[in-house]
Amino acid sequence: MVAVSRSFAGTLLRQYPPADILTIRLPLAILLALPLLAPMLLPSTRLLSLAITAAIFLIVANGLHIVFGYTGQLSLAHTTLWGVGAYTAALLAIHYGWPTAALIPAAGISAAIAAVAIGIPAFRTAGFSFAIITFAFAEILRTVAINWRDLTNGGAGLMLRTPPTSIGPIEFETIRHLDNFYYLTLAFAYLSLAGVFLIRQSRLGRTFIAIRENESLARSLGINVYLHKLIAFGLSGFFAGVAGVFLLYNNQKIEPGPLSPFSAFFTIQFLLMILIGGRFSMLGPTIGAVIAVFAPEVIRPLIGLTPLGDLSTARIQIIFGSTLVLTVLFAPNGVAGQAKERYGALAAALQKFRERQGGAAPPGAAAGG
Amino acid sequence: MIKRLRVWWIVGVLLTALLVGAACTSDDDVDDDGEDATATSAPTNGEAATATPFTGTILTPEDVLRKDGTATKEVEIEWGWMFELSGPPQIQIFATVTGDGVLFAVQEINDAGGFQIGDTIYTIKLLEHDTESDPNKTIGITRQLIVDDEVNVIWGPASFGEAEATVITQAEQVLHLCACQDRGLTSLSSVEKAAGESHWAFQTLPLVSRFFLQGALNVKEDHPEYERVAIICIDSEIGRSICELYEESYSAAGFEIVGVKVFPPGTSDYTPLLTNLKQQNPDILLNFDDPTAQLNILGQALDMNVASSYNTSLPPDIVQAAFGDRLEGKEVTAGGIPRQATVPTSEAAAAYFERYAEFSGGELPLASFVSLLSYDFVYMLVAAMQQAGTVEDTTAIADALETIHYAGAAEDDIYFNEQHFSVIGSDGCIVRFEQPIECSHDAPVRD
Amino acid sequence: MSQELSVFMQQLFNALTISGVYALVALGITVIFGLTGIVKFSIGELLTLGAFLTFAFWEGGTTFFLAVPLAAIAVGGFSLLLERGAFRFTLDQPINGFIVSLGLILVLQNLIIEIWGVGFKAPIRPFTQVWEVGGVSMPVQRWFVVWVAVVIIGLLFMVLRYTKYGRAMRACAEDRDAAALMGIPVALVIAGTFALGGALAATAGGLLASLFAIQPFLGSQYLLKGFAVALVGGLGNVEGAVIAAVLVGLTETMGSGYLATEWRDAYTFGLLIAILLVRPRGLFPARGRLQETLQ
Repeated sequence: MVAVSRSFAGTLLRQYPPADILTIRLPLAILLALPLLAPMLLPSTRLLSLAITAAIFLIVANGLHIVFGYTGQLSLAHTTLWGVGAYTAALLAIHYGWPTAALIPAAGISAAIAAVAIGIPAFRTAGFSFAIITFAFAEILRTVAINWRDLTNGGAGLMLRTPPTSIGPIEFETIRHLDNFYYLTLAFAYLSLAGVFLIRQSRLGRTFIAIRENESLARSLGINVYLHKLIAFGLSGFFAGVAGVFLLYNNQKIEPGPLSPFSAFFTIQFLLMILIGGRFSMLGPTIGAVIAVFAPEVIRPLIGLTPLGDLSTARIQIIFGSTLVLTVLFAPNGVAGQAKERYGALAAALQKFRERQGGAAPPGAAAGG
Repeated sequence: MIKRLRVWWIVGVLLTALLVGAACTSDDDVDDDGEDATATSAPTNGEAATATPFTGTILTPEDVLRKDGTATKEVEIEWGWMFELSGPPQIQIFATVTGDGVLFAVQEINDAGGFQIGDTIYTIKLLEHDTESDPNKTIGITRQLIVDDEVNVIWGPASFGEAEATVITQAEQVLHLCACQDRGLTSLSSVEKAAGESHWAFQTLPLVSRFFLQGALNVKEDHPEYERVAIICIDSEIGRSICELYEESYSAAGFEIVGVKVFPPGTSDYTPLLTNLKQQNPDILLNFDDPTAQLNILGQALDMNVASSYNTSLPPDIVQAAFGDRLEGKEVTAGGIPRQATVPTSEAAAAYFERYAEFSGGELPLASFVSLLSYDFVYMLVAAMQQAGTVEDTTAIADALETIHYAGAAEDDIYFNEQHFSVIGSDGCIVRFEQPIECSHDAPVRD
Repeated sequence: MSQELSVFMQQLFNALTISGVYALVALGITVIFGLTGIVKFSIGELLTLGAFLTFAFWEGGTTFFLAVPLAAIAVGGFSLLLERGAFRFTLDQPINGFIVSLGLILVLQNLIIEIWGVGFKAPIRPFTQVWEVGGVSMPVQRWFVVWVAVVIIGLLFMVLRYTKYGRAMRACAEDRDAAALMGIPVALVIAGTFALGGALAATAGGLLASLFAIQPFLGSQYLLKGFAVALVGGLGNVEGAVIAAVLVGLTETMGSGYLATEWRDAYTFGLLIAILLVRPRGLFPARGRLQETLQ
């Protein structure tokens, strides 16, 4: 664990060169620790429920980040893999009474297998053809979830009443012990974040990025592009599958309906999360997931204060959509990319200021972000 | 991006269920003075339940609001209220109007000075929430209402997140009333299977299956020459259940089922299925989906001349406006539950729509009849609280609610059956070429 | 005519109508992609906008036959504004153009809800007659839609092949830089193509308003089918899109008519997967620099 956290910190330091501890490391540490206080800070159970949703979304988005952000493959089947994980967990829990600790790897692996199974034919194509083939597979899986009624109970879906297995005296039941369930979900959200960081730092991650940046060049360097794309897709499926377990426990239900993981709505929402957060940044999906869940909560009351008054959901959506368009036009690398640029500029300014003061520049500060 | 509209389907079912029966018998049964025309003269073959009028006390709104002047305390109680005020259009319309029924009833009760239990006058405050048609948000709101606000009663939602919310309310023994579509066919049984009990959940939409056989028998009586029935339903849990119910009921009534087709959600062009079904020469075409789809199915079926008789759950005035002279020589049964605002079939309903129009600012909202799926049940819940002598002991209130009979705007005798489904009747209408719309009321099939 | 044959002819006629609509949507997608590499998902909302504008013009007293071109012009102009205001800044980064179009879906869909409300509108139906030939029912309205689609597709071919604009457009699609060096006003051609794509989608929407009841979420289902068609035909290839539209329309109609209808989408998408696996760039890949880098 120590080794992990050390490389985690090292990763952070490399990713965000410490021009000044106050401008980057401290704010980042506070930002990352903030969710630990959510049960104390959030004034209502409803908002804590939203925080759980955000944590689950974050795991899913981090998975998508591996295949879309790192490897540059636009998968439209990712949220379906999330659903595959949830169905796997539901079937194993309902019929065989598996404990949570066994469900999590099982759901992850089953979604990873599904991802590889889709990837084997789909990665024979690239670009938008790949996107549409994954979408076609997602639609077929949805049709199966609705029509293979003996297994999936059709459109009604599967219902699970048992809460996550308790650890000693700690219960995770989702009404009276919602705090505990939140921390459980949050722990896995942090793990997913750590996973994304570790992959990015590994040889594997560099290979993924090489493929994204220039596929032909990567191929000419002897990289097995097809295999690495499959690995990326499988890893992303694993993340999605794990998130499926938490979705199942939170909703106590999984179904292939219009607002389920099987809907095109979520497919697009998760893409937007990554794009808003910044698809070239490790923290992009995290920022995107938090914004997607909490922005409406903040925006609505804020607009309520303006002369526009209480807005209909349609108008909020119009504002959200316009913001998205403007973000892409003016900040194409998302919130994280923008923040990095701004911080870079700030750090450079501080550096100059210090040089002018005659102080020696700290070593390594000149390295660009 | 793709948002399906689910809740209308159950409305569709309900409407469709009684339509055929009610409308086909309407020629002889409709009363000129708008009084109830109860069409229950159909032959029974043992399975079709006959009406056995309730002989005990049927409460009225006056009974519920009566105060004896001995009250010394005033208390405001809080109920949870969560509906899909935004989201996919047709859910939103349905949910908003169902929620409106609760708002309207609560305002009437409060305006009348509240209700009395023992020495206390209670007024009601609704803690209103928009679920945004999002199951995740619905779960959060339900948890907040129960854990933070400690409410004993929750109304809604209509469709999205309803099963998820019901699991929570039943585990916490909170009274949960809604006109929710899934509850009828899937979620209550799923909750019961999963949690063991759903004593505190009440469904204010009537159970649909009981109407089907009655409807089928009515058609057989009116049109003995009709023999062949074709059915198309949407591919969803509820759509498939409806198809099965149609098949069972119409076979039992002596019809021959010549074709059943299930189509995926998001279909606009039904001509491939209709072509296939037309080959079987059906006399009657039954269909089931949301209103947009029904308009498309009906229009295309009329073009292709698939059958002699069609039915739809669309409001009859919309059918007449949409098809006009294409209805020549054809018969379309149409309508809505439980009472039509356009052609009210009882005095109580006519008076209700007048008051409701005033409440909504002078004009009736779209699908205003849907508010009757919740309005009367607010009074019934209050009556149950009065009978149980408590506003807090949810088990005692649920026990009492099981026994209440109430004369409201939708029906003269409303009650919940053993499975906690409301028992109310439905209006059916018939639309013909260049003729006024005729509507009549079918009393509910009773246990 | 034997019954089997007349049923088959009926299904063929059914497939023809829906293929015509798919072709118009797919053409809008394909001309824009061929030129700019931008996958314009918001074209589905332009279709919805076209349908509702047609309805609005018709409700305001215009005849249907004038309402559709009016709506097409209006939406074409609107699409032009979108290109000038947003898409032209994303030409070097097509993925950003794709995201912009996702954002526009939200904006347009909700604008339509704000303006026209959430309910549905009944079909307009300028022709109510139904021709019966040998047991095949052919509503005149459907014939009308088929012929309008055929005429528009024919005109589009003529424009692309024989006019100066068409030649400029094909040149830009093959190599934008080379075209610019030859003195072709590339920016103008791209703007014109966005207007054209928008107008094609709006025409499809207007025609749909005469066949089916319309509602604010109409666009998404046609967008996905139109996109699948464009891809099967080879993104950027106009002739391919038309052939693929007929292929997808036939698969859907014959699949629903003769096999289990509930699996309809699985037939269409199964066909799509099969075709793209054998020919990853579609049945008739377009030529050009963009296709090589993106496909």
